[in-house]
Amino acid sequence: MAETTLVRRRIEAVTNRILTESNRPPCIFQDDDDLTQTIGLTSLDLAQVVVSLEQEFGVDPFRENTPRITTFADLVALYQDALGGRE
Amino acid sequence: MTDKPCLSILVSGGSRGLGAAIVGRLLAAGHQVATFSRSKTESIVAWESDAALAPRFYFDTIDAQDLTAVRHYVSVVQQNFGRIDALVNNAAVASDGILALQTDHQITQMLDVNLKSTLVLARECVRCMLLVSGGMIINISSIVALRGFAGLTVYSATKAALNGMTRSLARELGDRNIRVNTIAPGYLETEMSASLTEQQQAQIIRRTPLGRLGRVDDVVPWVEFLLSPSASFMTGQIITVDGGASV
Repeated sequence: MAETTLVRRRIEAVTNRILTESNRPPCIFQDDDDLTQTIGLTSLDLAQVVVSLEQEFGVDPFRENTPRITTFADLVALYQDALGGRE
Repeated sequence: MTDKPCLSILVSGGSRGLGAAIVGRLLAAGHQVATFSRSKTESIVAWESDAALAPRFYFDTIDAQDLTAVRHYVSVVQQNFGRIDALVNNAAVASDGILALQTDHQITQMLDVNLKSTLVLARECVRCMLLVSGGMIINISSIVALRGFAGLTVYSATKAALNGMTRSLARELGDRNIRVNTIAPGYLETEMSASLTEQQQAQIIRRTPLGRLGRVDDVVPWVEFLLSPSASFMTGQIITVDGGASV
C-alpha cells in the first residue's frame, strides 16, 4: 500500500507541476478523474508528464506500446505495472 | 556574448560539408556542440584535439540508420551537457540516378537516414526539450523539395517530407516554446554536389539568378539566426537560400 501511495504521489506532483506551469490550477486527484475531461490534460501535457516521469522512475510505459488510458487511476496503474517491484 | 547565451546544440552529420561548417561556426560562437557521423574526418580530429574545446565538443561515430544507436547518442549528449537546447537535423545521404535504375538498397538507405533517423532524432530531442519547455529544431532540407530535379527523386521526396514535418511539428510544439524551422539550400559547393557532372552544374548555375552555386557560408548564418533570440517569433517556416533558383 505504501508503494502505491509513493508512485501515486509522484505522479500527482509531476502532473500538478505541468498544470501550474501553464497557469492552470492544481488538482486534487480522484481515481475516476478523466485525464482529458476532468483534469484537462492535452496530449502534449501527457507527453510532458511521461518524459518527466521517465526522469523520476527511469521507465516509460509508452515506449514500446500505446496503452489505452482514460482515468488517473489508469495512469497510476500503468506506472505501477511498469515499475513492478522496483518502487 | 551577453546577448548570446551558450546553447547545447546537437548537429547530426557534422563531420563534413555543410554540417561541419555549422559545427565549426557554433563552436566558434561559444556553444556546446555534439555531433555524429559514420566516420571521423580531419575536422572532427582537429576539434577533438583542441583542449580548449574539450568541455564543449562531443563526437561519436554512429550510422544514422542504427536507430537504437541514435537514441542512445541523444541520452549520452543529454547526460554530458545536462540539456539539449537545439537540434540541427543535417545528416543526409543522396544517391543520384533516375528512379527506374535505383536499387531497393539505395531507396531504403535514403529513407532511413534522411527521414526515419531524422524523425527519431527529433523525437528524442523533443523529449529533452519538453523537460524544460523550450528548444529549437532546424531541419536542413533542400531546394529539390520545392523544385524538381531529374535524378534526385528519392532524395527530394525525403526532403519534401522534412518540410511537412517542420510545419506539423511546429504546430505540435509551439505551445511549449519549441520552435521548428527549415532551411532549404540550393545546390552547394560541397562533396555532395561534387558528383554532379559539369553539364549539370552549368545547368544549375544557368537557372540561378545570382549565377553561381551556393557556399556553406551562405547557409550557416541562417542557422545562427534561427538559433538566436531574433528568431523567437518564427516557427514552421521554410527558408530558401538558393540564389533565387526557385523563383
